[in-house]
Amino acid sequence: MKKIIFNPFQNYSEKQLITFGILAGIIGCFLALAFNGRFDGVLDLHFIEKTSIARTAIDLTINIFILSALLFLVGKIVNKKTRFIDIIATSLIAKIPFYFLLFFNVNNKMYLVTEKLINMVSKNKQINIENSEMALLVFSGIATFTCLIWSIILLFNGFKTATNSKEAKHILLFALAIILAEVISKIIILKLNY
Amino acid sequence: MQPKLPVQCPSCESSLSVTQLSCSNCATSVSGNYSLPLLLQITEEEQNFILQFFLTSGSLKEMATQMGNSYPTVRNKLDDIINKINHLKSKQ
Repeated sequence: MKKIIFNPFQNYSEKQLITFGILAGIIGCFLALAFNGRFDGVLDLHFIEKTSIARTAIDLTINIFILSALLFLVGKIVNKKTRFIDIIATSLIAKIPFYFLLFFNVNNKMYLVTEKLINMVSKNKQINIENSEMALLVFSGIATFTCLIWSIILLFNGFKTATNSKEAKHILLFALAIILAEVISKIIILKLNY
Repeated sequence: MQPKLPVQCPSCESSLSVTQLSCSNCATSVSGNYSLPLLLQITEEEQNFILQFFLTSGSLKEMATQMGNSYPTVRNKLDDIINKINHLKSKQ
């Protein structure tokens, strides 16, 4: 079970992983539509007032392709035998933890609480939120951190399997690729402004 | 139970060599100092991997299906064995 959750890349074929990743992505798109989530960066999820299926689909496509392209580039430096299909499977599977976080915005609750907080802070008002809102913020914070770590573990294990990387400098290159992918995807999504 | 051929010294972990061979039919013994063939210097698991690779005509995809592993996992294992054999060859 631990292997399926953290390292499915060792045992499952690229076809199985890609099929599962695409199916999860489609479900993620509909969940994002239902709960108004935007994947506006490789490692980002924000809640907005209203989203559309096209917007979430474009968000996800940009994220997965930018991340795959950069990881593939680094993968080729690490090991010439690295295949793009294994890297894209990694990017698709590593996105799954973010889909679970969408449930925090049932009835736009998370969006309304964060908007309320931003309003109070920007107007220098005393922060006054209900206990249930506080619990939601704390619980969602813990869940976000957990899912982020889970996603990075999945990315790392997938990258390691695809490239057979063993050296410390490869980990550094992997981290650089992720940071760069986050920055580039964020800029593209902001510039396109769809 | 088939006894395992020891390839490493249990005391200092250096590679072992063959010093005596004997005929089970007439009990003739030959003494000397012969190094183990390259393929016997790797682990039994690695030897079985190479045998399976040979039996599947070198198809890593078929091996991956048979072993219940993904293609890159099997390819990585093969690359690791190649590196190990190259390392052993350079030591000889």
